[in-house]
Amino acid sequence: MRIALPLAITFLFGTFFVAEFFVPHAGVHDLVALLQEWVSILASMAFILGGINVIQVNLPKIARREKDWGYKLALVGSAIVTAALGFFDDGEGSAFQFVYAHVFAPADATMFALLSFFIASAAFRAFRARNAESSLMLISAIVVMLAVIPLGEWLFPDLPLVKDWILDYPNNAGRRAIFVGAALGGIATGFRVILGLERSHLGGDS
Amino acid sequence: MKLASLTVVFGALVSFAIGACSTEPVALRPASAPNVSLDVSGASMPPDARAVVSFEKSPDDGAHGLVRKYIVVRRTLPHPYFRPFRYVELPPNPAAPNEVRVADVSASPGGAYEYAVWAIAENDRTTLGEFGAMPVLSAPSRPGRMPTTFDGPRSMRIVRTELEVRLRSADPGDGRTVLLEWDPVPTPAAHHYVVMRSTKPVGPWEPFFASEVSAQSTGASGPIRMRTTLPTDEKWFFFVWIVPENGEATHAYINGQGVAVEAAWLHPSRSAVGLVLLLTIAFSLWFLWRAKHGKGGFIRRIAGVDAIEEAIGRATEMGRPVLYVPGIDEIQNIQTIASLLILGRVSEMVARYDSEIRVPCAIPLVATVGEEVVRQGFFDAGRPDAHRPQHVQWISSEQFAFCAGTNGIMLRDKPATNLFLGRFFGESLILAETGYVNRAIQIAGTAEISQLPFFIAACDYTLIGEELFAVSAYMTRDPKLLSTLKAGDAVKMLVLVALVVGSVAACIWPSAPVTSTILSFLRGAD
Amino acid sequence: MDRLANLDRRWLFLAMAFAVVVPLLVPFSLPFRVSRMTQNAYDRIEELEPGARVLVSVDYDPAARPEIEPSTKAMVRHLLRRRAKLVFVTFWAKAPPMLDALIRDLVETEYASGQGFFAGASNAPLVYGTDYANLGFKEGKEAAIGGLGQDLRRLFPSDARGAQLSELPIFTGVQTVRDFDLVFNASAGFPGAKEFVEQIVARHHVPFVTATTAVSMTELTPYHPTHIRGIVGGMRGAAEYEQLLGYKGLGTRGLNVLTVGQLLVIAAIVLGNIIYFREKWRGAR
Repeated sequence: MRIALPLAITFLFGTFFVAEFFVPHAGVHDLVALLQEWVSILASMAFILGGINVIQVNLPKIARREKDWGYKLALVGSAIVTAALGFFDDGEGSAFQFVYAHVFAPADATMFALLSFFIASAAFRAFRARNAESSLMLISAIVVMLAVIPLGEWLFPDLPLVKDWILDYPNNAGRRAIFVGAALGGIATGFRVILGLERSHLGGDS
Repeated sequence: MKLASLTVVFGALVSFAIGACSTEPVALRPASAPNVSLDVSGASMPPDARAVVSFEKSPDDGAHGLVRKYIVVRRTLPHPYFRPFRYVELPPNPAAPNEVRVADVSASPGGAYEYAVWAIAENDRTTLGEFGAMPVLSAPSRPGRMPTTFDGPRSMRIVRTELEVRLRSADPGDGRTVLLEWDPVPTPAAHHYVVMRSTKPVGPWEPFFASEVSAQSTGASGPIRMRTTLPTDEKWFFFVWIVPENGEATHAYINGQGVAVEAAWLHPSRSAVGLVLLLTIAFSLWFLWRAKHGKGGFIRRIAGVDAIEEAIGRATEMGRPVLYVPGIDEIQNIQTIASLLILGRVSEMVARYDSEIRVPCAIPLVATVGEEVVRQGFFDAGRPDAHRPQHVQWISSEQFAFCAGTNGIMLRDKPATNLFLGRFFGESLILAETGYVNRAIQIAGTAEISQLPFFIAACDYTLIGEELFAVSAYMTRDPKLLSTLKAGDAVKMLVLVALVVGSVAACIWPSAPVTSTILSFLRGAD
Repeated sequence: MDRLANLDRRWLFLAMAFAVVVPLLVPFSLPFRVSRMTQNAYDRIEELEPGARVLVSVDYDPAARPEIEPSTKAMVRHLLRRRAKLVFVTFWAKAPPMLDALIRDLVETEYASGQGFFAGASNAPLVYGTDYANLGFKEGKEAAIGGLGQDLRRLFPSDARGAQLSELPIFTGVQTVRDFDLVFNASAGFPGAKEFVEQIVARHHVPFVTATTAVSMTELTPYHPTHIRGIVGGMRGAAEYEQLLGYKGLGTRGLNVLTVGQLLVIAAIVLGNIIYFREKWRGAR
């Protein structure tokens, strides 16, 4: 029953959602909208689980003074403080807005900015002309990078045309081929899950 | 964790119950009738007006913001039927006077008229107002109730019939949304269009839409289109009035009998997608039959998948854990589902090798399901005691906070093998580069095309697109699972053939009926 | 050269840091041409009549803000110059504070007081609810975007300030996204321009332009110009749009950083290959 019920629910709802794509009847779409609201509700409730998980994982390590317990204390403490501020002091000019503007937003932007450094080191390490294919990729990458900057355009006025051709034809062709393959792979995976051929995501008889 | 799961389920049930009990939004009920009175005394009337119809705004006007539009209808006595004669739309201004005055400049002196006012609610429901009826310039008013029926096209004197109104279902076939379309009437005077509808071909008709279009604004810009959602699943009939700025409405038929709109049960424009789906199912069943009869097909080697077991063995030898990141998207995303399927196999392998696994998750629901999957994997390997629930943890739903947390796990726990399988966005390169610091073996797999270049540059093996979805079937070699893999490949071959044939046909015979038919079928009508 | 083969990547990080900081401190300018996609986006906005209603969907987070905000601001300035009526919305949970700041800085400060880009122009102050409005954030990702095409008033019963839509004159006659003359989406990922194309443009044929990150551009170019009338991509797109508007802002300065940064990456690639081939020839000998 522990497996049979989830499998039955998966089959029922999976088949319904596949079928509704092909059914324009408004009644069906009303039901889909309702079910999507249920999914949002479930996902929101799962955040409570997430909060419990954070505490369950980190509090024992803090209590036992394990390695780096101070960072875990900072994690749990800042999570609780930010959540409390969000509940009780939100709005224009509030402490929550201050935390967002002066802690969260700069930290978020900083992490994203790390990409620029890692791009350089990855390019240095990985872009090697080992064979014909990688040489082709290398040359394309350099052409596209040069074409984007004004200096490249100034040195080679027709370079943007070459860049556009690379992006419009070989790049798009490869991209669309991957799209088609991924879409078919997704259909096959969905088919396996709906029919219950794959069950490992359900947990099981432990 | 069981208590937490019960809490979630309970909370969800309470939310469902609250949602089910919530009342209908106010906008669904009909507007209340406006109070109407008629003034023919001459006092405070515009010089050219024969009568002034004044009415109070509907009680719903402004309170819930339902009512903005009014249609003043008029009948010429003793003619029994009313026609729209003035359209009024009021701007949303709660401070505006409550009384609206409409002058009738087209009534003939000595004639007898009756007036009424329809209030149109924003949800397209209408109601009638009480009317005051009196002959122009002569008799005192005779208040009374207006008949609830309104004439249909058969009994109306036809004034102008050249307006052709075309009706079709919009968002094809949902049975609710229709598109009315007509060419603007070439008249020098400003006019409005009032559309009536009824559930019967002979009425009673109710006005439900008034177009703000006037002759000046349409010019030669093309047909007027009006899309509307019908309130019920019945058949509805329509016709359109042309209401001049001053004067009585003329009207037009739709096909003389009205047009019914029915809901369809099949999207004809999505037949191509349905065909692909059916082919996939058919091929899956066929390959499954073949596998059961010992005719297994060839599956090419996927280097990245073969490397997973070696990488886990390497981690065991080095005494370091395996890191598995199932992507950062929600659980309903197919890539996340595929990743969780693979996680089951990987955790079983990890348990057999007596190693450890770390699974940082970006979505709480994914962490919950992931923990169950890992637990099952360890159980299947006969090592339930070795499972550590705290190794499957939710880091953060914020993309880069999750990235920072996972980087921290990599730098502290120094996993020897990193598996990045699922949907990733901008954090992909940061994760892969941080993993490189530990000289870990890194195997990535995603169908997110924009992130593939980063993984290819920074990881040892990359599973591209469909290879991610093939991993769980590939690892088990279960004939039932492999049959769907083969089916996908077979459909892809058909797509390839269609691409080649279609491209050649479009180049050589672009205007051939067969070519355009096939292209329309594949493109769909959406 | 042997030391280069074992180069600590932190030297590269340092070089990249200089490549980013120096062009900001020592600005320079090189001429560049405006791409077809950016020109199309500009032309589409330029065609708008005064009073046209435009839906502006701001869908990025603080991480993508440095890249995408210059182009977003440039396009909003252009819309204000065309006297369009703007309805702002977002489908990203982290975007509302940035959306509020955008409205405050551009609409309520810069435009109203004739500062910056609008210096010298005598603009009547814009009235909230009549000339612009903010619908705020709606959860639901692509489903919420699809809801714009079904019934906007059901999706947003009230605006971000709690006012009923029926009380705001800007929403007179607005039931769905089809009642807008243009949709502009500043998109950093999911949900974003692709979801707008799928849910809104493909179904309801509303004119659509977008400002997006450079990495997302490649997946959007197949939709240009049939579904997406114009695409302003990354820092380069921002600089192009600023050039079209006739000012030099963050986009132009960012293009300088992009120039030096790209050259550094190209140099790293070339250096890496020199080292690779040298090792290979050594091994062969």
